[in-house]
Amino acid sequence: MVDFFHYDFLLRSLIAAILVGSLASSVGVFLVLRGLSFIGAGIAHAAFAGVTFGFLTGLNPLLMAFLFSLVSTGLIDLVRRYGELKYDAAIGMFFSLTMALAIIFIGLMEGYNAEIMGYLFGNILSITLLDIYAIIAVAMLAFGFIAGLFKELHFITFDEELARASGLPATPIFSVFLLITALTIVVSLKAVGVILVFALIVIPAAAAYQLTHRLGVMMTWAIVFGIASTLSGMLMSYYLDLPSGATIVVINSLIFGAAWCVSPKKKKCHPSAMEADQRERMEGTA
Amino acid sequence: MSSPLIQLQNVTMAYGDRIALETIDAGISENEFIGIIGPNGSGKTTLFLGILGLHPTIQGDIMVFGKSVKFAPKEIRQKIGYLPQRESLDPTVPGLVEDIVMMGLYSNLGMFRRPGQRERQRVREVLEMVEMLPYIKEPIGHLSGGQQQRIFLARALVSNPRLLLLDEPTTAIDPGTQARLIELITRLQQNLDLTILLITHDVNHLISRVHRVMYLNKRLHAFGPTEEILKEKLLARVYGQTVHVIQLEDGQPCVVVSDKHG
Repeated sequence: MVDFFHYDFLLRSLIAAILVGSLASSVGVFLVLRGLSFIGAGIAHAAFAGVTFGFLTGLNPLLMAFLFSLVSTGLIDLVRRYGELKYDAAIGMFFSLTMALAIIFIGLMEGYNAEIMGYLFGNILSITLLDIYAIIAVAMLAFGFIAGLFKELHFITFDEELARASGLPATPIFSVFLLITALTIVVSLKAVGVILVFALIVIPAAAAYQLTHRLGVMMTWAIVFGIASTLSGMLMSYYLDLPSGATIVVINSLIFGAAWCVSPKKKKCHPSAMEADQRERMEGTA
Repeated sequence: MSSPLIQLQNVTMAYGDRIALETIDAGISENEFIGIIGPNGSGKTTLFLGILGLHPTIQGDIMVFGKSVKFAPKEIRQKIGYLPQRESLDPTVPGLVEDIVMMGLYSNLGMFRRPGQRERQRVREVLEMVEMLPYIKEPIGHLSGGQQQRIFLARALVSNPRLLLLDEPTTAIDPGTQARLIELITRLQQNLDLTILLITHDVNHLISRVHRVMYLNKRLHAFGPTEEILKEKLLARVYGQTVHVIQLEDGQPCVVVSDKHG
């Protein structure tokens, strides 16, 4: 057994696995519940266009990834609001556009760039100290925001218009949340890659949803699943020489399968709507 | 009746080029129970969104609690309990009954503050009012349509509002459950001295319960006591069908919509 604390790169991967796993899965809870899972893929592809633009122009790839994902998120929201489009159509449009831009930027480069492939598929063992600092900064911001505005995010997830109608600044809160989602995706890119970061956002939250009717409990389970999958993915990547991003996704999917099998939501241990209707008629409660 | 709680002053509202409400003038006093009727797309929900300051007027002004919704929307919203149309609510979002009702207190509680003992007690009180206290720990998705509506009514009431806006609270529930829900709303209006605006497609819900009925169809076609609205000709315009107003054995009028076009 390798002593993790003797190898800096392993220690960095360990920290990155815990932070990225918890970070992506916690923002994923609200995206999954609002039916916005696909926005994770949209932002990730915009971030990839930013990375390729950075490599093409010599600018910082992570900074470019953040700018591209930020602009893309803003435009998706703008098109949705003023183009009277549903989120999935707006996301699909920018998803394709940013991927097309990334391909054009790669085509304009001279020769093959292996580092770009690292961003596409992810390699948790290649995380640098600077990456760790960026992940820690985003994690502090994201966890602070989610913990501080947990009740507001719950209400907005339940019904954004109702939250606004009751006097909550729902639109600014959710816009900041989307900004934090973009930051989360950008700092997770190196660990899990563009294609697979989407899975780390969606699957732990979807698995957690199977197990509970309480948002706080769902958040806890999602974080546990996120960390478990990134940690075990990292270890398997190291010991079995498997690609880390893909391994993390497969483990996540197994966790989802297990959660679905034991889900109390599948069992008829609670009265169905029809039974509740009958019961209320007899009891006279509405 | 005291001074108007809501004053609609020449209100016109639109969605792009499409006019939703045109030159509406009306006043609603404190403690009034108002029924609002009109065909689909007649601007009923738009009027609620205007009162809440969620959709702007393109002409005129809406004054609520003596203030324009243009300039004090948040202050006004905090004093209003709102029950939107049911299809806009997602009961699959995780949450127990107490969590959903508690949401009605979040705005007054302020950001970064967690609900405490006082808020939990208030949630229990209001669930008692709507006769749903035994369900406090149930997931909202486990309840039937009628029970969910009672929970959403409790959520609208929990902040102790002076004004309640109820948008088709009886949609998609069976007639018996509808009647019990309307009875509950009437009782709450009387016991809590609330001003209530209730949108419904069923005029029979309003008879002998509300003080006045507003008939909207982009314009304000009628606004007066129920007996003034219970005219077959006028109701035929609301429903687009032939309408008969009949007397029941107990002397109460009852509106019957026939299958012939009016």
